[in-house]
Amino acid sequence: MAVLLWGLPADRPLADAHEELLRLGVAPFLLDQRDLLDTEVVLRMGAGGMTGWLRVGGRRLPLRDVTAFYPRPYDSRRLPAVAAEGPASPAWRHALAVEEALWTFAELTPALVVNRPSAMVGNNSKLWQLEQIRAHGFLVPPTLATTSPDQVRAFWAEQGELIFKSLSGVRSRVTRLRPDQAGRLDDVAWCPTQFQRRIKGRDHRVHVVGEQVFACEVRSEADDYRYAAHQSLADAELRAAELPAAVARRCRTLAAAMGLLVAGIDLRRTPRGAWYCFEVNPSPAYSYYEQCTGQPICAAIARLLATGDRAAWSP
Amino acid sequence: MLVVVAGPRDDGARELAARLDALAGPARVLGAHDLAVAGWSGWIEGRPGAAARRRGMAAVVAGELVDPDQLAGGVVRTPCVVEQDLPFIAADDRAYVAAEMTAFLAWWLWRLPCPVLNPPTPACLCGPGWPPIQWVQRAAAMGMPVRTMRRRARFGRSELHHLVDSPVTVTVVGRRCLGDADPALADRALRLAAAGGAGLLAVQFDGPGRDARVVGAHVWVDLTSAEAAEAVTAALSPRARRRRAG
Repeated sequence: MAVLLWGLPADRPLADAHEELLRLGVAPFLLDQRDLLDTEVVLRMGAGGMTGWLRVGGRRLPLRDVTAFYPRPYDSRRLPAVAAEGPASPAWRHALAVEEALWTFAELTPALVVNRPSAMVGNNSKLWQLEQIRAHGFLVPPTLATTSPDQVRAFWAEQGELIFKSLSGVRSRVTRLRPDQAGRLDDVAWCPTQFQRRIKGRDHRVHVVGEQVFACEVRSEADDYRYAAHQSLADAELRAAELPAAVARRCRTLAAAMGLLVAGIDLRRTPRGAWYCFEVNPSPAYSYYEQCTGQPICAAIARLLATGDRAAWSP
Repeated sequence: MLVVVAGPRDDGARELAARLDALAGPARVLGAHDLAVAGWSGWIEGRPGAAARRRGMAAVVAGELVDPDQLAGGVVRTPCVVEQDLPFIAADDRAYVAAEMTAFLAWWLWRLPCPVLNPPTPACLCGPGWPPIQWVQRAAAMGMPVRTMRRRARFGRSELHHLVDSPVTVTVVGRRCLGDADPALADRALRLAAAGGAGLLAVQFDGPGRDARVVGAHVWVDLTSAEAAEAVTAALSPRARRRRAG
């Protein structure tokens, strides 16, 4: 029986989960991405299901022993040992092969996985994800995706204040569209761009871990509280919060429907008490919120991994 | 109008579009360059349960502004937009623009009211995006005979797949298989495609006989033959749409 962690030891959520598992008496198998060139993965798929093993240096792990898997890898091609060799090099090809094998294992293993790739890919298309969010009863901002500058101008006139942000899983800063940017709107013809009505209110980051819900209220004047410094504003203030029961239940249902055992859900409560949902992060960097609020998010994730009991956590 | 979504170097897509054009009326190839033209739009309403807002939805296909209601069907032959598709975008921006175009197109194709082969997912514009080993797993789970597949990632000695040298391919298009495959293999191929939600699927077996084992599958189906174009036309026909809706 083994809990497999995959990523960089410097990644705070991964490091915290590792430490918490040790505290629970579980010694996880940490697959350090920096050992990539010395990593070997073999998968076999046949009538009897999937078997295989993972080897890093002198350590070997039969994959059938894995009861829980927490993959949080960075892009392997950016690892110094790979990037220095460049595309099409043996190191580059090996990095892609290891990633593909491990993500395939993550998808197909009967072990508990936080989270499976098929559950995480919804984040690749924010509009797709927004449709799912809306289908589960949350308000979402009226949204336009377009290459038409005229459509943006009409939407702006209709909705009042707008923000724009990326459509894909590429991390971007939520930015308010300002009058001095009107002259640049013709640039949207080069690439579809997402615009949303700016919803006024108080941000809440909600972490769902199985059945548990940890809500955090964020006080910030910034358009995107993660980047308050970019607007020369004070850092966001975070504190633990209680969600209305119906909203908490909706968060649990949404995460479960998306197949996510752990999720970071971005909500905003308007002054009139309406709850909007913007995004669901399938691999949340929860440590920042835990540090600010003291909420035991990591302990919950570690317990989930340690039990490896997916059924017990499926709402 | 039928649209074939394809990369700029996909000559087979152009061939398919020409055949569809002759068989079923106007057919055009939609490429990444079309997504860098003013005219695309799509909306999401804010309220749960509100009907999708259609006003202003539009696309640009082969340089022409198109209302989605004019589209009778789509065939998707590319998993994503890649940087190499975007020579007209500044080099530093290509990776970002490729990701944004892919994300937009996945949603836009998914929203279309007409049939699309294969329906996109956020993982892949042309279907489920499963690796061959996942198709083998699904086939095994459905009780089909499978040949054990091995995937090894070892520095300098990676093996992508352990396939037979000359697999027999059974191609699924809609609800039929092309060619003269053994009925037992055709039945397995159709069931496997249905399980993966794929209207286009090439299923590989280790032989031509009824006892042949599944060795893999993929969505990169060869649609350059006249038979394939006819099958695509049938799968996208109004009758097929009614059957799907029913």
